[in-house]
Amino acid sequence: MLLKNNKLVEKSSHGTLKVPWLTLCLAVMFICIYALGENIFNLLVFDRAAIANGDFWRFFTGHMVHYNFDHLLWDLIAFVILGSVIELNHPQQLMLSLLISSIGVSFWLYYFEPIILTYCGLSGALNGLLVIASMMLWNKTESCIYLFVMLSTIGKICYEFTTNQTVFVSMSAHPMPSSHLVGFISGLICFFLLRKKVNMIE
Amino acid sequence: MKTKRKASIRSIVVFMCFALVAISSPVYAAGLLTPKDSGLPVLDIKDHNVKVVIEDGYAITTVDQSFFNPHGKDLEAVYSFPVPDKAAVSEFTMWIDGKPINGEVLEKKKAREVYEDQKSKNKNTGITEKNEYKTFEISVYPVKVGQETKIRLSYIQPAQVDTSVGRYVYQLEEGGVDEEALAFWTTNEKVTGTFSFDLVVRSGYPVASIRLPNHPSAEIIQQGDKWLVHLDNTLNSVQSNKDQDAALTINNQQDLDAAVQPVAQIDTAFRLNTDIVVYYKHAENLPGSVGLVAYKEEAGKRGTFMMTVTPGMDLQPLAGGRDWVFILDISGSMQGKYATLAEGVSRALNQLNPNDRFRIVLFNSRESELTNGFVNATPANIDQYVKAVTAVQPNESTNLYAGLQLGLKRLDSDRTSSLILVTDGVANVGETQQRKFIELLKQYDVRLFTFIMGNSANEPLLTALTRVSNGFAINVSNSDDIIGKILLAQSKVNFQALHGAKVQISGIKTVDINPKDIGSVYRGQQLIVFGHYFGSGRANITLSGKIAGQEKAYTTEFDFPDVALENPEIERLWAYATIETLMQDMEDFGEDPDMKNSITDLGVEYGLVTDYTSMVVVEDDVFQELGIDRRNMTRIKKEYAAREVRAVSTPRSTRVDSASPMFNNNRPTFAGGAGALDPMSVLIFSPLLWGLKPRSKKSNKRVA
Repeated sequence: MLLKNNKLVEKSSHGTLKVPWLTLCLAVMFICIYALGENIFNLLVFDRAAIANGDFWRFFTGHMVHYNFDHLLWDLIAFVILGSVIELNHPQQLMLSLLISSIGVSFWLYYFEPIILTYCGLSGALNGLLVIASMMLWNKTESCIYLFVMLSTIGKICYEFTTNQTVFVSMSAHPMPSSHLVGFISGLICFFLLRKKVNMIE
Repeated sequence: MKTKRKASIRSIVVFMCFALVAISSPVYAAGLLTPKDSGLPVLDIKDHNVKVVIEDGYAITTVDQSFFNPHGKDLEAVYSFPVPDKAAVSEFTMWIDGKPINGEVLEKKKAREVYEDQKSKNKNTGITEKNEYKTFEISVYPVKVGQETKIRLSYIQPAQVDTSVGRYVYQLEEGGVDEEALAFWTTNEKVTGTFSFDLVVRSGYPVASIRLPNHPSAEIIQQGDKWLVHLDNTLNSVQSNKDQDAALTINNQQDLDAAVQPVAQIDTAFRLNTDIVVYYKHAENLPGSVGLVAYKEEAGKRGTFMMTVTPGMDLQPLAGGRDWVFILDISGSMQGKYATLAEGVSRALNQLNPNDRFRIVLFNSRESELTNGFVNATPANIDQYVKAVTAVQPNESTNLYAGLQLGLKRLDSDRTSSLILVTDGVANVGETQQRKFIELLKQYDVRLFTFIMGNSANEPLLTALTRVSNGFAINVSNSDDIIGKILLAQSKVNFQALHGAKVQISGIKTVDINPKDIGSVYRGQQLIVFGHYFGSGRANITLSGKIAGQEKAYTTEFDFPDVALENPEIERLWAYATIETLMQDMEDFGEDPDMKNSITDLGVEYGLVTDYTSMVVVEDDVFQELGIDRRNMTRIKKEYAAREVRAVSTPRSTRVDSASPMFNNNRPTFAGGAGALDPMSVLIFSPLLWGLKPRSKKSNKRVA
């Protein structure tokens, strides 16, 4: 019922329901990772020193862990929306988009934000997914609403840069507007890299 | 074992901090001293009210307290408290016949003679003396029958900001390292009347939050640019142990209710045996910067400055396997703490990198090694040595030199070695001369990281050792946030540092610079430089040193003011820093009469209590009678006037390199970053849900 209310299911051209299984599975995985607690967090978080000692998986897994429930909640809602859009339009692109956006953000943090020792959270990568989802839908429908979403997101990132804070989030860790911007740019790069393939599929 | 791939240093730091947790509930405290078995009655500490102002890079602590005599004869009060870190005691005031009389600084022996003379004449008098690095002691006479005697003590310290987190400690726990004193005195640490602690942070750099890790119920208020912290015991029962800290504030309604119940005949006294630690965290993304606070009365006169360099350097993480030598103090003072220490060792060793090796050296009156040379951090070895550490029984005295000597043996020159020294005591057996320790360390290319546990430890010696080996020392109170200390140490040992750091000032004449030898600047550390200057105008500043063997230089330029009247306390801070340097030199090279005279002269001129000077209060006419110059009183008036002006003005930034930044990077921070979304983001994203509706023919048109 919840899925229906949130329009996270879609009727196929043959009238059958399409469910974004991969998105939902990943969402459940993020919840499980959060529920498993501190040890798993420490094993997966983006940790500069640990990466220098060979823990390269943290480049990707750092985006899967969250500081607290609020941090997880909003990231998760956004992920389900964006992931569903991408998955239901181009199922094979979701993991690739997530991977490229996540690693793009981590790469930036590692090489260009040396003061950041640790980082966690999905939002940087989500900004990448947002670009991909919006561009996909705009390509498909030419509806200006998707450009408006992207422009709003750019506006929000500008706000975050100006005020050095997110709009409503309050947590002990420092929200990083730069990760949102880099995620956004990663999404753009990712989209144009995948565009040819997307068009072929269409 | 993937988990073992974590940086090994982190595990060592975890162990250190476990050691800190292990410190048992404090037995000793600040308080009134009475000789054991003397038969003398014990006086009361009636009120103890603390006010702290942190602004312009330094903290001013003012303690007002009163002693009450409930007994049948006049008595002498002797109050002792641990020496706060880099604290220049600048004011000792005693109320005589309702009138405050400021103390004056004299040579230590002379001050004591004056005090004893006045006491023998049954006249009002008081004295504040320094007992080496251990304690300050205030003696007041007489506390008359059925009456109160009120005193005020004030001290100034440079504010410590590390990795963008400022830390202020109101030290109350006595470290328990002076065995003779402990055998001689009993301590009354109970405050029978009011206790209050009020702290104000007025920072030019934005403060994001304030935290009292051991006093979570403290009242914290932000008023514009100011942050206020308040604790008191006015209305409720307060036990000073950690479990009952919630009762410290009047805001705790439950405690308030409990306190007003007539049946609650409980001990309402606050006990001065728990440090109050306050962290204030600066906002993120502040730039590396240079701050300048100066004091210069007239254009033609000599000025004094305090330059605070907060680096924003590009320091990369270190990688690769290393050798670690744990040197653990197992002297008698560690009794009751050792079981938890062993648990800490266990956890630390279990997190070592498989490429690392370790040795474990123990010392009390004698030194011994648990390991037979370096052993690889394999699960079997770790298990074996954890058991061995657990079986140790701490006892006897502290032969630190022997422990260090053994730790330095059998180092492998092909690998990077570091020593981790954990001690809460002093070197009291075997070689105790600082010079010998330094000579020993200079023979080895090794870094020594020292964790100084508790108050009253031999900090001069331990910091000198870390200085000579280009390591660092971290002070830890029982009230500190252990996780914070782990992060602090971790962010230093895991990253490159600026070694052989030097500060050069050109373009303006500067003299009497302190510190002369900076050593290494680790990630997050601030560099505070004091000195005198002549004239005014543009100066060029260069901070240079080596990072990973490569020469680095950071430069800026800014103006030194012609006249600056807002911070007269800077003069005392400069004097105290100079005295500390002289004391270090004497510890390194032996006592020297000229240096001793210099310290005495500085103490007297700037009104500072030192190892060679004390502050004495006598009645007004006695100052005149004895020909004691009232220069400290004059200085105090000047400082109070400046404080009143500052109190009503907006906190200002002391940054002077804005036009020509010394650093391109931001200053390091503790906090990890986080990608955080909020409801607004989700709202912005929500139109994409429209894209989930079933495809229409129109929607397929373009693609086709």
